[in-house]
Amino acid sequence: MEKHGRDTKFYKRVRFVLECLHVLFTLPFVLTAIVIFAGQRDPAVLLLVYLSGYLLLPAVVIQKKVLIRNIPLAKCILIVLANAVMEAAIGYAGSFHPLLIRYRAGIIAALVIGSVLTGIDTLLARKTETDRQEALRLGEVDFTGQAYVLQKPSAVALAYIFVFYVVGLLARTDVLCNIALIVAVLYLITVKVYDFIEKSEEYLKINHNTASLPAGRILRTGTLLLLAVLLAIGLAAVPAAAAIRYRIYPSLEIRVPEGQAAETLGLTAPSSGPVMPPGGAAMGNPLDELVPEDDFEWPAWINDIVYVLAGIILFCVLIAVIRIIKEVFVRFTREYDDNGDIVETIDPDEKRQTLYSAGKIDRRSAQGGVRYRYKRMIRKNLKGRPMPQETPVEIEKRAGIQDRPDVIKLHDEYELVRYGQQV
Amino acid sequence: MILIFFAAAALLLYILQAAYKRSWPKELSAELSFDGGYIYEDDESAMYEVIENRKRLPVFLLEVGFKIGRGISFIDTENTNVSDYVYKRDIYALGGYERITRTIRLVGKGRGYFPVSDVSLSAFSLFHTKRYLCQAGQDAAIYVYAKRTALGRIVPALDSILGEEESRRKFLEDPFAFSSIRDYTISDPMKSINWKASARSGELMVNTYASTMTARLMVLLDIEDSGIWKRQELVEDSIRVAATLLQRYLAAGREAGLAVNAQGTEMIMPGKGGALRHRAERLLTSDFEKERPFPLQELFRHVPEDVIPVVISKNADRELIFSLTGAFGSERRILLVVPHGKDEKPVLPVSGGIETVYREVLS
Repeated sequence: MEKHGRDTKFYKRVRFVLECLHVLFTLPFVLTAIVIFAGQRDPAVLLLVYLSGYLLLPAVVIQKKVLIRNIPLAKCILIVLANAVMEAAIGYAGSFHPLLIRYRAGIIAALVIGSVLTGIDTLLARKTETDRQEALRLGEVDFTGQAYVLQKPSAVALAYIFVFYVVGLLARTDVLCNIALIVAVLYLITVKVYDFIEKSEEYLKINHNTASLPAGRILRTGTLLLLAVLLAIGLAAVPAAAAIRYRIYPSLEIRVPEGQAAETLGLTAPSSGPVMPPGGAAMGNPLDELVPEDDFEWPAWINDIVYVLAGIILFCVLIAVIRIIKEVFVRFTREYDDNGDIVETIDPDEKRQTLYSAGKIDRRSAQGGVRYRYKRMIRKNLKGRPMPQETPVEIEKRAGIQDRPDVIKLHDEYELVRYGQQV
Repeated sequence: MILIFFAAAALLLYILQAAYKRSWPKELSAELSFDGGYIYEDDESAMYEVIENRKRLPVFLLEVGFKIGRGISFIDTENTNVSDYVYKRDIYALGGYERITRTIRLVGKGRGYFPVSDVSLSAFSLFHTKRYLCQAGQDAAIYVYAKRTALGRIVPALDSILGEEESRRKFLEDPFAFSSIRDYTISDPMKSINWKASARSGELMVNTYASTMTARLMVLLDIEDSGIWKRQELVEDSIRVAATLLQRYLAAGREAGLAVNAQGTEMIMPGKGGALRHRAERLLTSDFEKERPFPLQELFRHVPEDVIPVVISKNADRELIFSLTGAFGSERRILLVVPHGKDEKPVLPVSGGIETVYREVLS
């Protein structure tokens, strides 16, 4: 695949980015769901909790880059542990916001667990790949191996996102529902882009020995069509977004028969206030017990630094996205000849080239029909091709069909059409 | 709401796929052509694949496949599969309103006529979940003529015979005398047309004259290989000798003809010009193994009296010598070329006007 150069390397980088995004899109939902089950309904808090899950990014990138290489297992375990410690530190620093402080321990735990899970998943996938290579070497073509859920985007994960959407419905938290909808759109885009890149790379790998394989053109042309698919996905999100205001939250209230006080089991989604058990005493948020009373206030300059850092990161991400889009379009508009092929743009008004040897005849016209039938008759009966200077009589004689009644009739028609321009 | 998104996305993606399936073959053409109508054995040539997409919709991945006889060998062998035919598959990706021309180098490995009558076009959907197929008729073909070969002692022997014949004619004929009337061929000048004879016969007829004194020759080629031990290389050598002789003497301005003892092949009476030469070359590209041969002696009666027969036969034996003498007489000058294997030279009787040239063929 190396001989196809820059184009395939570019798409490999894109694929790597999508594999990282796949983890980031999916894991933070778990953290958010836990906070919801703990009783939190504040939209701002839920959004921040969800976004804090993206702090897993450094561990994901490091592990996906490093652990797939041929490193001894002991070193890999050390890398996973180091990443876990790093994520704990990031989680501690990242949950500085007053709204998140009370969930700091949970965020740190989620990041550490997410980091370890990603590491284990990557190592298991590496082992599967090694086993596959070994099976191929031994000639076992049926080996498929285990599929690992955190390795690559898959349409199956949309069901997982749907589950959290349902959780949001049941918990009556529109934040989680909206996040799930947005992530579903972005994730489907991720899946389609990843699918395209993976299948194209597979095809190119199978055909890597094919002469004049236009790998770059295949990827670029496919990307054009892919943009149409992504546009369709974007359009599909429009009715869903418009229908948000009509979202129906299911009620799980249970009514008891008349004569008895209506009881509401604690399953009804509470308001964002504290949960009221039967008897009326406020329970408070159970997680509050884990958070020690603390009068400590963060210095204001830490806030400023964090805002600056966030701004820098956002700026870098934006630049990267613009560069990717620009690179894709520059590649489309470049004039080139690929693998020695001559590539030309056809003017829509340009007449179709009719090569003499192609011998295209418009069969639909009366004249064309006669010529086509005559040509077919000759091709059927003559061995080889007629010489350019041979007359119809000479050709028929050589084919040995000059005395057939049907040939004589067609011959007369042909001569009228060919030489007399009559029908 | 998420379900609305899933349903809308599934519907739109299905529509896109259906639209692509319907639209990809429209305004898409694939045309094959060869560089020139013929090559010789072991010569290189080129084939052109021109794929045109005359619509806005790109064709993401297009495989163009065709088959051709095994006498043609492609220099880039990665995309070819050889069994009873040579199957070639090329991969393209076309943008909207684009034309791609690919040149494919090839070598003529064996003589023959190699047409390409259709190509298969195979396109993939964007995510490789579907494969779509269609066929496109083609009208491309190339001839691989028999290889030129060294003629060795054949040329001096034949030149000697031709010289003797021309000298003999000089004493017997008035060079400006009217000789005969025959059918018109494309190489005849208009001024030689005999209009009265043409009107009587209904076909164009020309006068011929003996003024050039040039002797004519006719190659009688024996392709029979009926022994238990097949010697196809000797038959191939015979064909190459016939082709080389005809090219040489036609290029020198002589009249030459060709007859082969294979059922269904035409007989080319002595004539001149490039057109006749190509007729003979194409005749010699036939797959004679498939044709039923008849005895070579049956060709003798078709040889005109004023023509020198050049018989090429690997099956030459005493019987053939007697047949030649019986058909043409002991005074008639004949050249007999006998290809044979190493240390397999036959012993043939010497007879009157027959000049025998033995030609050892190394496998």
